[in-house]
Amino acid sequence: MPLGDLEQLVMLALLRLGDDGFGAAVQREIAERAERDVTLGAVYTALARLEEKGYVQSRIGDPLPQRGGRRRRHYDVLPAGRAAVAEAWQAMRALSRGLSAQLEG
Amino acid sequence: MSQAEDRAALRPPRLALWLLERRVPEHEREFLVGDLIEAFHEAAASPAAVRAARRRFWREALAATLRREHDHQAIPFTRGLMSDVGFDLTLAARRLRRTPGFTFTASLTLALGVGAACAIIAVARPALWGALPFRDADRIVTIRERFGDGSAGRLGYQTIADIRRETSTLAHVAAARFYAPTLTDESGASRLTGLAVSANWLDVMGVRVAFGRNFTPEEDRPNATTVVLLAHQLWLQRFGGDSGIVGRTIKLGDVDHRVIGVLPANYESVLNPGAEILRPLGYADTRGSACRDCRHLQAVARLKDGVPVAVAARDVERVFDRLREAYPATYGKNGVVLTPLRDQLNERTRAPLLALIGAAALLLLIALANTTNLFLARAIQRGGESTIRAALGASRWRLARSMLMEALLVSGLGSLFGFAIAHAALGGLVALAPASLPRLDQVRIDLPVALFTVALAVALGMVSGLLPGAFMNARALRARLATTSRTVARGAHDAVRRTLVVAELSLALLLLCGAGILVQSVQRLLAVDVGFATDDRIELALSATGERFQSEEMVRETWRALHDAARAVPGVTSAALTSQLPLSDDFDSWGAHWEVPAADGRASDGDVFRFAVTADYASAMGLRLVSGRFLTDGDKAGSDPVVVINEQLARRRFGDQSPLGARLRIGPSDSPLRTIVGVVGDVKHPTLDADVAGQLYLPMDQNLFADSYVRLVVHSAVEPGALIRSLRDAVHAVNNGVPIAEVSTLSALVDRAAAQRRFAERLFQVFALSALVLAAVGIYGVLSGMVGERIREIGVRSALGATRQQILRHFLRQGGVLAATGIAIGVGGAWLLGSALRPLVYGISPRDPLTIALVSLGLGGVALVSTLLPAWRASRVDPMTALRTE
Repeated sequence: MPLGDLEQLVMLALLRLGDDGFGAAVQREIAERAERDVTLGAVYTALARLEEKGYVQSRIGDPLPQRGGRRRRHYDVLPAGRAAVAEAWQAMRALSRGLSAQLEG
Repeated sequence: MSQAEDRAALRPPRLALWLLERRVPEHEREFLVGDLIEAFHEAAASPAAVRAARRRFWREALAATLRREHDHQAIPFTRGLMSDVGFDLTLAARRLRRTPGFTFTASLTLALGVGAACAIIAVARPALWGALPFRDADRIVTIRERFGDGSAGRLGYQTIADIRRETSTLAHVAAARFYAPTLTDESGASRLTGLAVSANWLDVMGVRVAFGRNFTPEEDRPNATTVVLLAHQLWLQRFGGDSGIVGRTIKLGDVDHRVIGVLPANYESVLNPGAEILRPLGYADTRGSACRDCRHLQAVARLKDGVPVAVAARDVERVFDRLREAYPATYGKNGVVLTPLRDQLNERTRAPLLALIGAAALLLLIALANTTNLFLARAIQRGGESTIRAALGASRWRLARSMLMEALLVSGLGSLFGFAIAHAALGGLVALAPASLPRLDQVRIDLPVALFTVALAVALGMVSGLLPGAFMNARALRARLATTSRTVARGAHDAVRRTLVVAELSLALLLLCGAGILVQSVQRLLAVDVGFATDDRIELALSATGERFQSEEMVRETWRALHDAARAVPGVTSAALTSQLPLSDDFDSWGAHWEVPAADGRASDGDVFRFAVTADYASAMGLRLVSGRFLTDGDKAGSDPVVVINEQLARRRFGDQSPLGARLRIGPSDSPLRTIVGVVGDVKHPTLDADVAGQLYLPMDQNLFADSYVRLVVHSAVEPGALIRSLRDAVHAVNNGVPIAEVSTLSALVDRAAAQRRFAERLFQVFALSALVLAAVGIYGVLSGMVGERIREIGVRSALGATRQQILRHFLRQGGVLAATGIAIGVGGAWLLGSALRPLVYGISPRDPLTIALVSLGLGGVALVSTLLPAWRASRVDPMTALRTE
């Protein structure tokens, strides 16, 4: 199943974050790296969809004081997810070959 | 920043949090909200960033809660609060459908009150509150001269010119006078009503012409006034809405007038209803009619921005200070009155309208009492159900809500029925309304009135639905659950019911007293001896104005020929011409100066009504001859000047002595002395309720000038329609340049004169009747409710040996006490509120004790009958059945 635009971003952010991937961290990563301002709600929507597609898996952490005693939901990228990102990246690369002058100019 | 504040500032916005907790789907709520809080604390690390962090929190919260459903399984917005409401509404609708009797009665009762209120508000709104179609209408004032006797009236031209010159607080000062030209076109001659106005009239009103142009100052000069502006309505009706009208000439009084513009559609001639054409006034100080004594001009002014009326009034008063000094004979002690346009408009109608609104409010309250009572009975009936629901954990609010939903639905139905009632009533109301009611043509149920009505219905519904709920409180319910007795919770709602009955009775009494007094007032007004006969008599207004009637002789000749022609019409018993007619809008009063001053030295009587008539006026009008003779055909232009006066004037000047043979002058001091040859009975003029003033009759041929506007009075047994047709033909055969306006029977004239009071009376009658029915139904409902609830108690009583008479007496006494209390309070209220009726009342005290007593008796009787049926039912209760009902 192909990835949507926001889903790609979320997947890449999760890969970067490694074990520390959760909603707000993903949002911050996207904002800092891609300079894209997405709402947390949108991130959660994307995460839920990715989980549904079997690309990520969530685990629930311990209650934390800075969250008012709420728990975190961490997301780990599954092999299928990694493959989907790779596929999308391959496709990007194949299509953009020879265009670097135009794309970076 | 203190520490406490510090901590408070570091908490995310509470409302946003509440929203999140409520709206974010549960499976992700904890994590998403936690993320947001965590991010918030990170972002708000420095005090300077707190604001930005809060804003960001809000943005995130809103975005998270407003996510569309297909994106995610967010909780739909209608669930929670709304879906419960929807559920309750459906349930309420189903319950109401199961009890059509209740639904119908409650909503109809509500509709009666709301409909009456809606109709009255629709009628009163344009006059009292509706926006006037002028720019900054609150800056427009009328200016009137205040006379020594406290009355106020019109001004002379030079006075207005002085005010215009010498004040600094008024932006524009305009003058206007009546103008009724004869329009001649292919279809013949017709009389238009309009105004001759100074060139700045539209500036005062703050109105621009729809197209064409306004008058120029050059056109507001003598002999330059042959240009006119048409009102929108006239333009549509007479000129087919042809926009090419501007620049065309029309014939007014046989003279070509150029149409220079058309007024906008929303222009209303509020001060002079019906005026449909404007012409420049064209006065100059040198004109005879421009004199200071010639007080015939209406003056209106526009205040400069920011100037209060009181300041402007002082400014104009200063002008009068100078005028009084410069012309003591002309101004005497006169002053000036500035009245805002709106107040001027409502001078006479405000009080009656408010009284009617008050009456509608009373009816509304009675309706409210009834619906509350109906809902109360329903709540009691549902006591068992409520008890179980309360026991199962339904909150008090939840219980009240189901009743509230029913009330809302009933309100909805009620406002629908109410609109139907108001709509049906409005046509009748407008037809019945007196022409003196300002802006009658603007009466309609528009959006604000409709919204008001719906709001009223909903408010009433809420009150009547919630009030019983307040007594179905948890305590009473628990008590009931504990004892399962029907009699326990009775105390509280019995008191409510009693209060309702008492309130209803006293309100109904108020309305009935008002209606009773107004009915008598109108009867007395109509029973007033108008002083002339009205049966088989009609009148036609005629005018001879314009080029072809320039010479006095031409006018006199025309009237003579018309008079002869009218008398020759088959079936006419008598026909006469008069310069003014009683109870019409004519108003022509002059000073009468005695040859020999009265014993107290008084040489003249001001304000005597002048009737220039043909000799047969007395027979055509059926005037009563008191002494001497009336005018005859022998009193001609060349013969001795004669006059006939009315009883009032004779008594005022001559007391018990005969006035015959005495002489007087009318108007200017150089007019001839006229010998009094007869005295006739007084006629009512100008209004039915006015005190009779002096009146005198002189032969038309002996009048100083020829009246251009006269009325033809015809006494004939011929059916009016046919009669009017033949009179019309006769008039046209004599001169087709004489238009006929305002055809009416004399009895219609008298009716019209009573119209304002009759209007109020009819309304009060309808209100009072509705109130009576509602009150009777209310009492019956309450008492039968009480009886129904106490079947068991009655059973116990009769099982213990109470006789039927005793039970009957017991309930009758209960009803009697309620009725007596209600009536006593009502009588007190009638006494207190009586003065509100004063402006509507004629010939009877607004607190007429006999009326109040009779109404109290009548209402008491109705209350008794309404009590009797339930009481009788109670006395028939079979003890065995009663004890088994539990």
